[in-house]
Amino acid sequence: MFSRTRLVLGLQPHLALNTRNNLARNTLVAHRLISHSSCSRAEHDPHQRRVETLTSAIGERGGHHAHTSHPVDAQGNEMNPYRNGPSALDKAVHLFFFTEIIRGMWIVLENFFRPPTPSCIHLKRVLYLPAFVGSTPYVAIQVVKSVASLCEAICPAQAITIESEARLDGSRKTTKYDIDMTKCIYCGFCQEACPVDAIVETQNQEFSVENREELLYNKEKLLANGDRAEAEIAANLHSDHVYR
Amino acid sequence: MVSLARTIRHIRRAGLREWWRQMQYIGDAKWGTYVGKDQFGNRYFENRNAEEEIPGRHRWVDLAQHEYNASQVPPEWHSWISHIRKDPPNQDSVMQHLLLPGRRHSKLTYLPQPYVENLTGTRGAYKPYNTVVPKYKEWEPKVTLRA
Repeated sequence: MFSRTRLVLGLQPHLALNTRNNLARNTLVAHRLISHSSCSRAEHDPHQRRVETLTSAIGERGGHHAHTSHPVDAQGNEMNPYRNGPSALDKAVHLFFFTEIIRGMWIVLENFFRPPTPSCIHLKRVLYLPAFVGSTPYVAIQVVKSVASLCEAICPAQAITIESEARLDGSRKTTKYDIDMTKCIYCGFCQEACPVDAIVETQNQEFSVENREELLYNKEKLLANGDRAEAEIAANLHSDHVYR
Repeated sequence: MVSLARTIRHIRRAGLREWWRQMQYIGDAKWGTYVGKDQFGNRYFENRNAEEEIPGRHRWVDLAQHEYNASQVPPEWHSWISHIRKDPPNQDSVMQHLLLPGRRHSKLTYLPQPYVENLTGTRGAYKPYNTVVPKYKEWEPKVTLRA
């Protein structure tokens, strides 16, 4: 009995020391990790200073406050996050009277009395970036050097057909430049391949035609497309010239 | 979303005549600031108040023709109405600079052409043709005289 307690006593200080050492090391490591990680200062700030964050008024408009972070007043007490939100009674009313379903059905109903979508397509939002490559190609320069008919070579859909003839001074002149718009996949490789910027894709979207053959564009049609949309193309190039 | 309050508010602001026209052509009572008019007489409007218009329907055109289609919007206004450019062409300095007649003629090797809408189905529709001499010719049957 005596020996056992002695043994325990003899071991205990060592153990206690060891654990204290471990604790000290662990806290040191933890402190180092915290202080070296990038966002530690803001997170472990004991005063909980609120950093300005991006906010939108969407949550307030919808009346939902459940997902916002809990605000804390000066004493550090957590304020009620549901204080400004809808009451339980409001929520129950919306739940039991199917208001959201009725609102959805109202949208369906009002669309019965609207003209069909294609006739009000000008109301639809189509977001084109200036760098959008996706429409009628436009051959800007009439004299395309035939040695550089890279667009024809690179076209994955093989939609481009080029023929050229020699001029008197030896340079080449393009006599035939056809693009089959039914084959074109609007990848924009021709625009990237061209060393003289002779082909530019525009935002013209006129593919609603009666005959399929109206989509087989020849050189004159392509040039006319560009002439009509000159201001738009130039403005797009201007807005993108910083990144080119 | 159409609500009765919004409809009545827009009728009161735009006027009954304008509202009737909108219901015939747009199908919705809309009201917004008048932005401009293009060479064809199409009028362009904008209402950026998110309470009154759904964002995305905040720019619209009142097309002048009865038989209207989307290709009647000229390219300068197309880039405004498709949110490619922020300002309408009558306020956009870049677009104004490009649209100046002297500037255009000095910079381009050929004259810019007036914009025409999609003429498919009419006599002005594009019809493809060959721009070079064809490499092969049709067979022309010749009847040799019998001896």
